[in-house]
Amino acid sequence: MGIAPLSARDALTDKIVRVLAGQHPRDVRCSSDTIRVVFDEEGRFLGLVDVARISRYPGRIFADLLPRRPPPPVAADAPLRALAARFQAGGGPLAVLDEAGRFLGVVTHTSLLDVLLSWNEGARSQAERLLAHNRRLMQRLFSAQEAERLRLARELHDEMGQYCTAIVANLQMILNLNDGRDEQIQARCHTILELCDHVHGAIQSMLQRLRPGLLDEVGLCYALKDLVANWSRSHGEVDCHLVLEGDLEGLGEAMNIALYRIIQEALTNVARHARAREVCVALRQGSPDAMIPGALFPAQRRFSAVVMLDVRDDGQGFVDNSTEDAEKRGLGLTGIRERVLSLGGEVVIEGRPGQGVSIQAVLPVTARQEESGT
Amino acid sequence: MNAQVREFRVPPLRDGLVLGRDASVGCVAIRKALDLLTTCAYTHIEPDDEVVGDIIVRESFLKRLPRDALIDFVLREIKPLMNRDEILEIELDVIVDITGQ
Repeated sequence: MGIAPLSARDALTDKIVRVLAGQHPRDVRCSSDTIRVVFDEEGRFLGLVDVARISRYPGRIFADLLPRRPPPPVAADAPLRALAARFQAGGGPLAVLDEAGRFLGVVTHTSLLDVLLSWNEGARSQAERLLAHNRRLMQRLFSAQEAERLRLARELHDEMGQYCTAIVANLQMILNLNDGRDEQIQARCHTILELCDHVHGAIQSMLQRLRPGLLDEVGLCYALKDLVANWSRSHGEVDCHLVLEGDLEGLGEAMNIALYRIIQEALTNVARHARAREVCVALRQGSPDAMIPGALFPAQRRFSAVVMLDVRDDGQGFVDNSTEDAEKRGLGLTGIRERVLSLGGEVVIEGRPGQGVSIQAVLPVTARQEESGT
Repeated sequence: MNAQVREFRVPPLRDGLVLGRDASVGCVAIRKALDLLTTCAYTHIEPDDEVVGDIIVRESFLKRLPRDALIDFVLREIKPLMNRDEILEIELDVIVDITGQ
């Protein structure tokens, strides 16, 4: 984190006392760490005197305590980076002058550090606020996306589905009326029936992708079992294992949908890119200490319960060992990451060449989720 | 009882002072004192030296001896005799040979 926005004006110390050049230090009462700012009788700034010089020459007046070669004063808008460099080089307190060259104040090493520390603290809290805001926005975006998918699914089901059914009914009626008399009509009707069957299957598949009905009806575990079973039927060349452990019901709609979508996306990636023979999907709920291996996900250890998702395959991995590249190629990893982050979780995606891809995500189970299931 | 009594000279120096770099009293204070004690003008010279911090010399004296020659003389002849925390008074006699045309 840089210190660019801050300038000398922001780091002035309040531990200064104004003295006259002809005054003797014994006549000025102040604490030992106070910087004496020396002015002449006309109020012109002459320089700075610290306690070390007073101790060294106790008999001298301030005019005789001024250093022979004082450090050049700095402008009020001088960046703190430059001042920090001067202190690092062993410099003492620095006088700060305004645009007109008048004395404005003093920056000491301590005042500089104080400002930097408080600025870092402020920047960190601001970043945390922005992150939380970003998570809320992502969550809202995903909710809106799911609502739109639900609307589309209903329209598909209610409109297209009904029309398909009506077309089939009418075809059946035509077939009955024809009663096998005209072979061409008979053949055309059967072709249209096959096409309707195909359209119906496509609609069902789209409905399943748009809104997994089982998720709402029978819960996450059954919906995932159904998802994996369907996926295995379509990709018989890959062995897919599903492991579900712990209390995975009542995690709330947002968490359910997020986990379902992440697994759905991960399995789509395996089918499209992995060239894997085996994929294992493990979803567990429990205490973080019992489930999170090693030093992974330290931020999640403060929660009493978490959900840990582990999807790994034995495919070709990321060819260039880079998740960034994989994300650029549109493998949906960004979507997975955003879904996890929007729920306050963390995710690690790894894929070494020839060693498959693993997606490990941990999401906190908050009390609100557990109680309300929302 | 023995006593030594002598006249206090005003100003208390004739030609000048050489101040060590760590002298307990600085040149500004000395010049202030001289300003109060005499109307005679004194010049302040700061040689770049680790022992001699300041030379305060009667201004008229510099009419007879160039400034650099004075600094050179002080650093060569007086500096070896003094510590950094001392103040020495100097009395200088300069003889100037004048050849008119």
